[in-house]
Amino acid sequence: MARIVRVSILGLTFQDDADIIGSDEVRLRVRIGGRAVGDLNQRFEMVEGGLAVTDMALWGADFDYAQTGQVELTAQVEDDEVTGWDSMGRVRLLLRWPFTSRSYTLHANTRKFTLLVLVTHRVEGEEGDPNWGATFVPRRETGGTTAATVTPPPPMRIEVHDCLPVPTGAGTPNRPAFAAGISPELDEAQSAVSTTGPNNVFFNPAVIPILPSDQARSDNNCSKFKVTYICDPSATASRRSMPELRWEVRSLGGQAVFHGGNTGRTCKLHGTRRGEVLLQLFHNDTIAAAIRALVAPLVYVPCRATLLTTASDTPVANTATPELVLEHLNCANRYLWQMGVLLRLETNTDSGWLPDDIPAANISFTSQTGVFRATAPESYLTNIPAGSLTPCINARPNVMNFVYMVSYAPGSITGAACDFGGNATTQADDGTPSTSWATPSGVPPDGSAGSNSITCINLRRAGRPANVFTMIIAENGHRTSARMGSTIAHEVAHCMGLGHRGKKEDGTNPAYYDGMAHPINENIMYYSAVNSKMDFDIIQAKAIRHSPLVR
Amino acid sequence: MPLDGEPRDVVQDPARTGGEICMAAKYLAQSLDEADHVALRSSLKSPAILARLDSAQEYRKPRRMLKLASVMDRLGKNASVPAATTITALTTSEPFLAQSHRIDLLIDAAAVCRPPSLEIVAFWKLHSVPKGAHIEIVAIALAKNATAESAQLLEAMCKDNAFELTRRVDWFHIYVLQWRTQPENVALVERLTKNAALPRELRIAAVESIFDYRPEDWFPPHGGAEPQPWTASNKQGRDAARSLAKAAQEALDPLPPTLNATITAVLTQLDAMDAGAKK
Repeated sequence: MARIVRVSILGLTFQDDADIIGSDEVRLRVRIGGRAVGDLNQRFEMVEGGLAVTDMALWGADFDYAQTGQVELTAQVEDDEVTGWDSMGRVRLLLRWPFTSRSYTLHANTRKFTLLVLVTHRVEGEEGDPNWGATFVPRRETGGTTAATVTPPPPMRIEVHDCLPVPTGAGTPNRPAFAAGISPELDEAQSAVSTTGPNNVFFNPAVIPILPSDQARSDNNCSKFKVTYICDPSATASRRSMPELRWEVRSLGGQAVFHGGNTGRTCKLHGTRRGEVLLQLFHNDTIAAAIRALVAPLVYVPCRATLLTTASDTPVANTATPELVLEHLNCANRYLWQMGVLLRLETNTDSGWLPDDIPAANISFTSQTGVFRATAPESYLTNIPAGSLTPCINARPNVMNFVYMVSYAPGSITGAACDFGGNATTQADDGTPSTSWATPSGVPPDGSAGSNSITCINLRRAGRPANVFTMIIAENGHRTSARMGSTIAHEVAHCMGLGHRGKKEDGTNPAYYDGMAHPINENIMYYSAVNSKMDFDIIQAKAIRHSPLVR
Repeated sequence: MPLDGEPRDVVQDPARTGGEICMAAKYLAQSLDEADHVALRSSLKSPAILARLDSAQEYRKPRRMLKLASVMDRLGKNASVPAATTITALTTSEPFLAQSHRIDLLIDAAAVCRPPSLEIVAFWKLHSVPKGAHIEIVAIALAKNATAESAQLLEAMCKDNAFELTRRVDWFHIYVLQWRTQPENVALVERLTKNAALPRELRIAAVESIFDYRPEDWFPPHGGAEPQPWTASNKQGRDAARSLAKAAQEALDPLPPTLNATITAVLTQLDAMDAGAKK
């Protein structure tokens, strides 16, 4: 019998803020433990924010657990040049015994790409081997290279994580060590976003909304929760619906009721009273897991969109249509649902604020109420500066105003929040489990949850209309509506007071960080455009409730 | 993967793929050899080659995603005379200038030319008219170029009330900030500071761009900039900053207290740098 540690490359992503110039194919050069792995002839398309997935069977290497003290991984992405291959940056990772099973997100020294690495263990040998499935622990001090077996294994572990996708890398939840060969069942992903259908597609939201009194409760407006991780050493629970799991709501001031049954791996709820609740999961009458949520009224945020065009014979314009605007808002609402807020086009047809050189006659209605067209000089559409008045065109106070233009001079962006104020300045949260399970999370083996806080943001500049909340959306022929929805949700959340998730040193933009270092890649307020960022957490849901847009 | 053929031939061959032409063009764009640039100029003036590099559909994406962007990026980092000749030649090429993204890329690449040719200055001027689509790209290039010629054009733009005041303030808070230790940019700010006919808000912003940095007040969450550190300055730049500080304290009296404090802090840093250089 031998215990094998496998180090594999899951894939790589290219960063939106990486200042990638041109569209190109690249190759990946990887060495793991001194061995070249993968296929140097394979080409990866360099697409901003896109994920290039590798064949893990090819892009990995095995090591004998007992014979290996450390493994160094180095990787370099190279761009094709006439003169040879030009490095786009490097990553390096030093793994030390006992090689914890986990994933790593490695940022290149140039910040142009991110490499995803997975470390796994397996036992090779006869199935009748008495050591099959045993737990390996260090016989001597950490860093030693010999191992022994111990028993008994830890009991079954169940998690209902409040952040989906569940954080990876340094943010992976602390878990007890299980025997080699015992695979946990993971259901850590979030659902895909589509342009049609209900808003409540995401599981384990931060908010359980209280519906307006005129809205009937249904499958399409409940909050859905699910088990995200099960590891059962007895393996009897594998691939079963587990009817012995029972959910219960414990009031922490708020209250919610089940929609349908309360057994099995999933449940559905509607909010009934403001405040927090703890949704507890029992396995054979023992508490196995818990998730905390805020119960709050569902808030419809009024919004309007203005599509800009020039008046010339061959007009320059954002190519979005009123129908596409609706798709964008629908997709954004999938994300915002997690905080119990939804964007809704307003029925008010008054012209909003206009700069001196755009007369009111330049504003016209479209077939969709709440979506307008405006003709403007090209300087309001193309290469606009950060301080441009473009986002204020046709804006009304205390409404979320979207202006579709063409391009932004300071950089290639999909959209940007521009005007927002009256939001909270900070927000604290000290519940258990902690928000996004920031350590200590209060979930064993962590100790009691600590207190967390975030810094909120406001931006009011001189020479602009009062009390407006604005966002520009650039022409991006290559973006899908789902991607646009993610961007809009991120920027709208800025307007509601949320900064970028992380600390100032986490990104290249020095301002507007919320000061929480966890989770980075999975929170939608992360600065870079990575596909994994989808989650709003409970501290953020609390913070936005102070915004004039949500109050 | 080696290129099949000589770059000078490949770059002018419309039968080649966009990727091959791009690879050859990138190689030529960073060359110091005039013969390489002759071939590159010819190809970049050819509608067939330009269409081969990037399709009409690709021009709907942001300009930095074009294959041509990587060619212009290399050209914009090549300070040689042949590269400057190529840039100058493109400023009057109708086929090249037929696409708005290409105008932006050329405006930006031209910032490497120090001093800029008369044709380049005229090209920048042409695209810096109020209400135009390329004003901001020109403003960025002028700040980056930081020569007497570019500073003169930026000064003229600052005096033009047809540009919104918020836009002119951004030119300093975002663009000049990134090249703020360059002597010509500091001298430009001093001239504006002394010009009492200009709005005080603009003059204060100009001084702030040299001495201060307040991203939370100046930028939205996306679209900010980082200041050039004074450690990158030369003696001429540091002397220009001292002169500006004196002029600002006289012409804009009273300066906002926070600005006054940051000016004092920067001057202390500059004195320490000069004292260190003498040791």
